Amino acid sequence: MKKVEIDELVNDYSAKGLVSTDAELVLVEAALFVEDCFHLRLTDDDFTGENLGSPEAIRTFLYKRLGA
Amino acid sequence: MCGICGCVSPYESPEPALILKMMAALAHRGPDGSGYYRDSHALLGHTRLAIIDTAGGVQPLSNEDGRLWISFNGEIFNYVELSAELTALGHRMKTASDTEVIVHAWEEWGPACFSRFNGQWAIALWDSRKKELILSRDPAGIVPLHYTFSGNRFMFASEIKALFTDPGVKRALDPVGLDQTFTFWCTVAPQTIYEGIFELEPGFWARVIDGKLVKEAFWTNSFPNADSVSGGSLEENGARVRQALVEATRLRFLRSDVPVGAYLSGGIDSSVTSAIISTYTSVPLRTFSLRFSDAEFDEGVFQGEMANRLGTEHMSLEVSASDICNVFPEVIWHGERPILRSGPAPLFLLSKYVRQSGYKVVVTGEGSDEMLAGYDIFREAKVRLFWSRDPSSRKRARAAELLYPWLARSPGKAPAFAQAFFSKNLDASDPALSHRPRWDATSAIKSMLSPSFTLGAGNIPADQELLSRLPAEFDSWDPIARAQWLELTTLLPGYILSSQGDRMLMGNSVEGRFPFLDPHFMKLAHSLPSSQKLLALDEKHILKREFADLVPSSILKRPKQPYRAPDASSFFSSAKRDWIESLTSASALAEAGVFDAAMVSSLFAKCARVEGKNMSNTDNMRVLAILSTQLVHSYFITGKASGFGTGFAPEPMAVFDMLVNA
Repeated sequence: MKKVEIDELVNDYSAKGLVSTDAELVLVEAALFVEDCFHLRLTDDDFTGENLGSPEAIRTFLYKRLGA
Repeated sequence: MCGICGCVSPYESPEPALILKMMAALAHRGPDGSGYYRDSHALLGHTRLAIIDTAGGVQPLSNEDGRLWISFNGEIFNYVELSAELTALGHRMKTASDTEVIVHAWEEWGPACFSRFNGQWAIALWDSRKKELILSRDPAGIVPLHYTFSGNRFMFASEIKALFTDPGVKRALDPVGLDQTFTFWCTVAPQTIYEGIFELEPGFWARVIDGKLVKEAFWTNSFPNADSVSGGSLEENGARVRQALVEATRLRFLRSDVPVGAYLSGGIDSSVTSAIISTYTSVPLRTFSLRFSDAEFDEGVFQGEMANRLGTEHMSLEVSASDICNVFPEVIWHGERPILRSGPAPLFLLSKYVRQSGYKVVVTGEGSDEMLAGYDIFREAKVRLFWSRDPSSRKRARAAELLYPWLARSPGKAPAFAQAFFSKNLDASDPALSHRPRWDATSAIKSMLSPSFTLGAGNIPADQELLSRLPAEFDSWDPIARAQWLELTTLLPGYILSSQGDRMLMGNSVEGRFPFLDPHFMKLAHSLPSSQKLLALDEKHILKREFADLVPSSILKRPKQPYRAPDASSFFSSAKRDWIESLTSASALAEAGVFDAAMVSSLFAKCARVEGKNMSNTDNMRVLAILSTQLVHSYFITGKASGFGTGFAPEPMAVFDMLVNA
């Protein structure tokens, strides 16, 4: 997957607003997004702020995991 | 829209008295006139709601040589283009109606014509030379079409009450239909709740010849293989969605010879369709909204905001719990089946308001939730699938807390309960993973059944029976597409478009038009990657993205709030109505034989104590199931309660009696 395609989805995801403000639920929602849209399988250890805590973090995480 | 009815027999010449009674039973569907055709083997009846070619579209209508006769309910929105094509092929049109186009299209293309129609329809076409009846119903199931065999006769009608005008038609509740209703909220075509009475499946056509019925699908809801979704970027697909929806909406707004209004619920779908009308047509728009006295259900703020933004001539009707209770018997008479929510009642009152305001056509937003994964059931499916990948994960379990953020008692506020509820049957291999929570919750109604009443066919539960006839390619679709198929097969035609749709609109002689159910739009929506419809948990994402310029962000970003109305509290918050006491008496319950009198008495006493407020979801459904089933029994099985019809076929009446004229 190209970076531009990843960016488009992450931008849309971050623009829609989050369901919860609970810090762990924010990560859970992001993990669901990543698995759903990019067909990745995460472990609980991946549910961290470093990987999923912000749009930038998600983007970086996806570039790395998808080799983009 | 209109009402259609008739019967054919290879052995007898049906009497006109029967068709007059059938048309009278359908008078509300077509108060602008009626008509029937009769020959030695067939009767075709029609009650007319005149919308296109109001002066020339009298039915039944024939082809040039009088061999083919049609009775038609609905609209073929692309009739102008089809008429030009058929004229170029040598057909001669006598009228400017879409009805005549169907006759010529059948002559030209046979059953392939149904795939060319862009519209909503129930069609009965009689070939007097072949002695053959053709029936057809639109792809989504917007327009109803029921049938039965009565002795040597094959009978059909828009509504079952017209079939019951033949004293030879058996009146009995069907345990299979009730089992489906108390599982899925509705029956699944061809099943109905009445023994021996069926409905033609959406997207099917049928041939009746020599007393035998043969059916075939011309439309199926199909989705791409999960491994080969062609994709297309959000931007590319968004542009296609916009173009298709604008065209579908324009077609449904402009193709009419009477004024067309629009429903405005305060949600995204009707905001989008109303915005398209305002933006892409030059015709002033009248919008209609439903408001509730109870603030928990009211969406007036959003309706007003959208109406102001569009500058529509806006009208709203406020409905109270008491209004719902008062109109409920009439709602069930029109709907002809049990319902588990009171939602249809306010919509019946709204269509009455529309009609009283001088309108008989409205554009509505139904179908969007099914096409673009808008319902919470799709969000539930995604959460359960996410969780099922590691059921032992504490973090994944918390995803249940992301559901139903708009509910006062949301899962986020009761996480332990939510996790217990949504973890039941958490089996990723279950083809009904998405629907299991709803079906299980609904099935709790069955614990109220009388011990002597046996549901279902043999020992096969309704859910197992449905899952035994999934399409061969079902497993190749992604989980959201599978959930969409289940929704398109059950709730959309069985409840949304019937109990809450056609019946509530046509009960007041109002036609609904549904841009999201345009066949071109449906095909496009089915082809999209699921993640563009439901991006993570953001429902109808592609629609919101593409129409952000026409709909305010306050509406685009508000949490999805399904249409709801007060349920049990409508019937217990004020003085108890006589009809409730009479219908739920021990003797009335025993006569119907469906529900256990002692359990009903206990439930209703509990409701009375709390005035029906703060009841559980299950108890709310139980109350509605009991009241509506008892009403159905009273109107249609015993016939003890009188209905709401006029008793007369509408005038003027056109008669084409080939036996008198022979």
